[in-house]
Amino acid sequence: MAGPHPQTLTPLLRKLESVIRLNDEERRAVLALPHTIRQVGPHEDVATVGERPAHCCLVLEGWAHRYGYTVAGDRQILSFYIAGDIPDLQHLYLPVMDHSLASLTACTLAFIPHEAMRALVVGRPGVMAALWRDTLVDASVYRERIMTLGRRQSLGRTAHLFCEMYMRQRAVGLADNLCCPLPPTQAELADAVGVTAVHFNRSLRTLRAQCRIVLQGGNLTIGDWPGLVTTAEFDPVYLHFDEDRRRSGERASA
Amino acid sequence: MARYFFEIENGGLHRDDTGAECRDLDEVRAIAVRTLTGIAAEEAVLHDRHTIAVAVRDAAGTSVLDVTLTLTAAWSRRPEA
Repeated sequence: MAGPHPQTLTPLLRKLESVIRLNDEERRAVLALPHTIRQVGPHEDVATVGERPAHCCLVLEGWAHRYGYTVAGDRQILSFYIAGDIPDLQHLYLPVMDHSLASLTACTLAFIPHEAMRALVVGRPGVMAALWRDTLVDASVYRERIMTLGRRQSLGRTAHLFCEMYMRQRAVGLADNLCCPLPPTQAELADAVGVTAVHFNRSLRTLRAQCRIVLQGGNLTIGDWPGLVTTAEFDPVYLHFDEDRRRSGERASA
Repeated sequence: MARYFFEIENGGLHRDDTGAECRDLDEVRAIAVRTLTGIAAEEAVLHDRHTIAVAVRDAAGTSVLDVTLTLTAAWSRRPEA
């Protein structure tokens, strides 16, 4: 069951350490978690509403997403997940899935048994805090999305999604220099920002005409970060990156 | 499923090279109307009279549907700023 390579779970460590610091023993324990690796194709369901998962699903490579459908058949993409994310971590303590989780691109996933996750946190308050914080940041991202979907228009929503996905990928070493992968199709991005694909395409063109971004071949290049941030009204505080490190840096310089 | 193209007229013409897959003509109309109201919410708030139109064509370029939205704000009383 245990992965043959002790470094397989490194993306999880990078993700946890983007919000909190772990000590050496805690790091080793995270990397030693037993897991099963599964390769899935694009758009394969990993867990659906009503299921009772016995494992946590860790994304090692590729993008996953949570989604729901209205009765009329309209899809809302609730969130995107990238390497290092555990999209169903809350189901460690909430037995029944209340939404569906699926791959978006082809993905490499690691399934970690719930009992191993529970054993991991026993006697390791730092890891417990890291996992708790991870789910709290997930909730914070949802609050920001309520704000965005409820009060911003298509252009702002689109710019906001681009800012967020760049920042999240950069925090775990998957993006730099204002470039990052952005594999969802335009129809999927439209379903994430809650507008028609036609309206989304118009917003995309506006952002391109303003030289804010170029989206091509599944890659996003940001040409004007301050301009994109202004359009998005983006303040990364809700992502809670590196707050401990920044605080200790402030103390050191005080 | 068939692909339809939605051109937006709002001050200037916005051509659609991408199109959208639609299950049926009801979905074509629903997308046109949702796009119009969405754009109106975003782009028409500063005007008292504003017309936006969506023209839908099929993959052969034949016109399928025209939807027009005119937003009119009629003030009873508005103090001069």
